[in-house]
Amino acid sequence: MIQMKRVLLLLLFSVTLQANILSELRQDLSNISLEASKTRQNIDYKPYIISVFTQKELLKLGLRNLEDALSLVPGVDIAADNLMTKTPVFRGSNSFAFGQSKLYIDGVYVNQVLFDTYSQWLSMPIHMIKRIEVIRGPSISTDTLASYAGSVNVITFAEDKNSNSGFLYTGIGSNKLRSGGYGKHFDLENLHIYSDFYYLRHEQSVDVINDGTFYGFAQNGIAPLSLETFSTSIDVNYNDLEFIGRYLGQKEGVAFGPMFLLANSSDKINLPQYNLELRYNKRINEDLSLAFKVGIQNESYSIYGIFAPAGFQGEFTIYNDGIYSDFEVEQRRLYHKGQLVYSGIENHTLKFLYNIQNENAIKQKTIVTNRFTGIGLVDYSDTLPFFDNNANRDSILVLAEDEYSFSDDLSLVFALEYEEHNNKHRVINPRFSAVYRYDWENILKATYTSSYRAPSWQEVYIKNNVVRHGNSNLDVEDVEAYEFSYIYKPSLDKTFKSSIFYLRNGNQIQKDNTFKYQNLKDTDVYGLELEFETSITDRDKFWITYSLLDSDEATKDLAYSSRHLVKSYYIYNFTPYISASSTFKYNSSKSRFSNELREDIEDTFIVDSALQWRNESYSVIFGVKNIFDTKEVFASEPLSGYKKDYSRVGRSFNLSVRKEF
Amino acid sequence: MRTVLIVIFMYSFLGAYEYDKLLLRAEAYTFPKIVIMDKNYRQKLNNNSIEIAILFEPIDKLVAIELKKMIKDKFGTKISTNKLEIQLVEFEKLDRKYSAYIALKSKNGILEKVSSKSKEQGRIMFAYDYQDLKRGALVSLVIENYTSLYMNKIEIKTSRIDFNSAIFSIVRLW
Repeated sequence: MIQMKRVLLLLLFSVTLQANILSELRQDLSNISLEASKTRQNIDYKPYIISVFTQKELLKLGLRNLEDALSLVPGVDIAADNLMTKTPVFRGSNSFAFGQSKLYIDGVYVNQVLFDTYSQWLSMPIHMIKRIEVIRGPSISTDTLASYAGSVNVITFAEDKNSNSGFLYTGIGSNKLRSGGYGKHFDLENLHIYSDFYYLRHEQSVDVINDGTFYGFAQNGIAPLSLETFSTSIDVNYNDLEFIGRYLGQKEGVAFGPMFLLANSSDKINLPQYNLELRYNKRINEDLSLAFKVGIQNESYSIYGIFAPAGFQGEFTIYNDGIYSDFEVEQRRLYHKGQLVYSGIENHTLKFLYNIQNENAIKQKTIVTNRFTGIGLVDYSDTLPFFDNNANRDSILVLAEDEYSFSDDLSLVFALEYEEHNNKHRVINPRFSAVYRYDWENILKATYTSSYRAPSWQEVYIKNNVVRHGNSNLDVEDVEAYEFSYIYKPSLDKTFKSSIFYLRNGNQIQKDNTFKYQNLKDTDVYGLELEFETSITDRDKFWITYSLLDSDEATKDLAYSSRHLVKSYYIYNFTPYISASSTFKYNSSKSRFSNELREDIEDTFIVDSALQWRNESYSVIFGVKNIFDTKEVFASEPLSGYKKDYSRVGRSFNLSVRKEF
Repeated sequence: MRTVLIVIFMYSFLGAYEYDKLLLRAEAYTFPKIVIMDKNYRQKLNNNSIEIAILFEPIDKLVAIELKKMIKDKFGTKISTNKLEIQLVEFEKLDRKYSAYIALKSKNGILEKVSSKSKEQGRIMFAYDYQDLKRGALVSLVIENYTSLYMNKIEIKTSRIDFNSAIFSIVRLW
């Protein structure tokens, strides 16, 4: 009897133990799924076309900054204007427009209000970045606001909430490149703090030689592309509260001149910006969670120096001493955002979101050489401002989304977004996507998205300017995207991805012949993207992507976009500590607009290389960019003074040392 | 120059396939628990301990050490009421019986051999790479839209492992 009791007790204990273990396993699997979703490690199963790059691989490739990393994204090219305000161009969409993609740093939206670009963040060193996630194609989701052509999420080490670690780095390179930074976690019971800082400067410039004349002035000289930037951030977590603050101070050379005329090499553009965001995340129960954010972005843009040389013929007078200008505009974005996620209905995850935002010009200064006499400086801030003093935009966004797991292998997402600006532009955007996992190796995705881009402030509010005329009657750019994707994953280290897409772009904004922004173009773009990664041996990684773009514009040309983009890299790990890599980028030639006489922009083939040594604490990276010193340009606008486009800096070297602790 | 080449050549034997850290961690957290879901796991203890061998190629020694650390960080020295021991064993040097095995990446042919051995012993062979289920491993983990444990249904039928049937509510059969 006693023996039987023992057996029964043991059996009962065993059953209870296994029930507990089973429950723990369920929780483990659920936690891992959440982490995989958060860190995008299961991107192949998500209803977006996403590229993810980790710091580990980017450092092995010797890439220096966010711009370098984005230029590796399939279908993405980098464009720049006369002031070297840069923007990634996704799938050839309107190369001369800014704001077609959005940048988030640790989930904080940081596009400038003025140009709707994030050029000022493109120099962010890879050393500061943990991971870069790029959604290609339009999107509306609760993670990001509506984006027209793509969105970029930069994740810093602030993400590691339970860490006490830190790092330091320093770097030098060609063109007097100097860089350094740190990141450090402080983990104290319920309080977690992460802080980082970086500083970077270089003195790049390019020669402009015999590039014709503009307003009668020969374009010969030096375009200063120098940069001095620093940024610091703090991320404080206390229970359900999180505060994120980031400040950026940036001074850069005036490049090819504000009026398409070479300016003084000492003239500078100042771009300070700060973002503050307070978050409250509350998980009410297993099925319901809430999240709220309030935030502010404050930025200013100022430029002081010579805009046109002595003898410039203006509308009313000849400027015998040239045109001097002192422009400044400061704007602020205030927003609050709320989100509710409910998963209490079987197989459904419902998300509701609102975002209310105000963008407002808070300061404007226009001091310029007397426009009528050409002598002395006059304050035109009230009479002839370069920027509309009343610039203001109120936006409301509401989004509802249902992620429905039809089965373990098929998930569907339905979303509907409504947005309104200044009681004027009202848009309704639906999104539908399906992800079907046929088996381990084969995944299919189909997506329909409708999205839009509100005109940037420069396109609406810049005035009394020779080369940029805002237009308050602009409509939003709209896009409808049809995307199909097939992913083949025969093993953990081999993936083949293919996507075809058809984009119906409407009302695209460009400058007309008088430099005024207009809704000028409807362009249907279609193409495909192929991506393949594999290990050839057990110690290497090979990655290649090919993108094809085409369009049904009347001219049959996709102006200022490469039809073929090939990007590839190869990393060979000699040991766990030493690796070497090469990166290849091919951009096919770019045609001009059909009414232009200039020759096409030639194709380019750029090769970079890097060598890395690392152990558990230290790493040393030596990189060479553009080994063969291939000539590379950014396209200049048709009416600019630079017929030969904007030259880019050629071959360069960089060396950095990093310490983890 | 010749010395440099020799050093590089020698070091090249230490090179490693790039392992996914999240996948390793997921496996470190879940695989030891699955051992307990074997109804007869007590009969497979070594010195009253659940003794798990991490099988690796010499090239992956650092990964094996990392996986061991992840398991130790998660469980310490005990899993529920049982002592837990983790041993690092090269594939080629496997010469005794353990409570269960976790196989990292391996050269062609080796996993088939050790899987067959573990099957004879009635032990669970876990695999880092789900593709190794095709080579005789019994359990693996895949991070998809949802994270899933996979079991090789052919091997389960023919193995001498009797899992608590409740586990089939959370695993997918391959």
